[in-house]
Amino acid sequence: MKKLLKVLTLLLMLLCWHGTAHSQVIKNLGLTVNYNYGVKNAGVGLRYYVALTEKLSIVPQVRYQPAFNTIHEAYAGLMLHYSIYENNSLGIYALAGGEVNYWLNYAPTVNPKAKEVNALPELGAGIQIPLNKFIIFTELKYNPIWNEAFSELGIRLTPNKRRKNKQLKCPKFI
Amino acid sequence: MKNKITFFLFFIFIWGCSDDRLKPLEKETAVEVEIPETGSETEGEPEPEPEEIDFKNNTEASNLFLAQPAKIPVNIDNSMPFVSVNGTQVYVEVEKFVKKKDNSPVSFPVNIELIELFSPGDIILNGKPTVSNGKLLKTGGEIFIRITKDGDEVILKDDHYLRIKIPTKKPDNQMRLFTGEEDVEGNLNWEEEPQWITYECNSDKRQPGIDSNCFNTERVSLTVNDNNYEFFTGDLGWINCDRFLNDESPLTTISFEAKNAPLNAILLYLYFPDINSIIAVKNGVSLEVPIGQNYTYVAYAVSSNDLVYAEWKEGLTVAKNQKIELNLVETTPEALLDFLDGL
Repeated sequence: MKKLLKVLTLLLMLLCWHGTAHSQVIKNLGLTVNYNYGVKNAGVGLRYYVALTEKLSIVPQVRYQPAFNTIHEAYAGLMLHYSIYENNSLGIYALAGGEVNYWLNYAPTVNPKAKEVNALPELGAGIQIPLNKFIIFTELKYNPIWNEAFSELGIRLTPNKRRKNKQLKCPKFI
Repeated sequence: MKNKITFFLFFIFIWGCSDDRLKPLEKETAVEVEIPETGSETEGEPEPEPEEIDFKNNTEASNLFLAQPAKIPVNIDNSMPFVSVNGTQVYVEVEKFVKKKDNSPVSFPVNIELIELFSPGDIILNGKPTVSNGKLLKTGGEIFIRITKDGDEVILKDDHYLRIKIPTKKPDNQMRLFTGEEDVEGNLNWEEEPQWITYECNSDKRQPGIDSNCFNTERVSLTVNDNNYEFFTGDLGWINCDRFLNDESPLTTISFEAKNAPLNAILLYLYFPDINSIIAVKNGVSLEVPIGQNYTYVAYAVSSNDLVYAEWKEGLTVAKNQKIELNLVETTPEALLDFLDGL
């Protein structure tokens, strides 16, 4: 548990530093629910979007999976989102990254690669639909180490959505 | 690009479903226990014998599936038949009966106990094969009828007959009336009743059938009327509509051996679907049966803890001195009953 807290603290510090140092970039908060098809477990998540370029974002995130079945665990990780296609009503992106898993009620299973703390690569894809004040999105991710797939459904809050620059408005001449 | 994404998502859904983390390690380790090689530590030790099953005897085993008689109180007008749920009609005329214990007269209400065995499966389960003195019979249906008055068994008076109709889907004009006699071991043998019944109207003896037939002096014991076999029986108990086969085929016996149960614990029956005949096999050797007949065998035994072991096989043909090895395996009573229902 201490390891997990350390990881989470580190991530939050990173986010805070990034936020103050680059206040001009787009930063959004996201809330998710997820379902793991392999172990049939559901959970909730929190993420933070930091746009590095027009197509590339870095997304630190945490997830918590309550003990709906025999598995009780938490994740913290970092994903890279790369936009493949985007228009005003739809966006498709690929994602890749890694997460640290902390299996809170760990007990040995037939999966020899599953320990109490695990570093897990993940890759997947997502679809997002921008609305007025937020973006809804869904992602499918795959963890090749454990051969588990899971989906996330979320909402990305966009309060700082760019507005038209008032200065660009043409002055009125009477 | 869209195709690649679609393929990738499909791949994830198909393959990304491992539930290994839900399986505790203990189960897997149990599978991985090493089995010592034959000839090393176990050399010289005899192979363990398969566990011996304690089987019930035939009578106890057959009790598991015996049909219980339907017991129906009857209090009806003499001209109306009692009709069972399966369509058997019994014309109960109480004046024909007396109590067996003291020959005292009987009045309504009386109690009828009735068992109807119209299907091969029912006949097999109740152990009432269609054999008369070692010869195969083609059956049109078996019934058991017992009538009581205040708990006392009643019988028909001399030269009085009970009129019964049993339904049939395939009427056969050559059918005759047989009654069954059980020996002390419960084996049933069918005896043909006299084909003609003589009665006199102008005597004090009552005639079989309805009064309008009184002018006849003789009447056949069994007739076919409107998809019913109608007969007049002077005896209650087991009654069968049968006929002997007109088969000139050479005869043979079929021998059975059993791997995993003693023959005297196995209830073994042969069913000949083309002639609707059923025989029981005692001590591993059948009666003489016509060569070339199609048949099905059903064998079952019941262990002392009520587990059912059975084997059945359809589509066999009788061959000269045929030998069959039975291999009974544990099954459910329902599976056995399902098979017999389908015969």
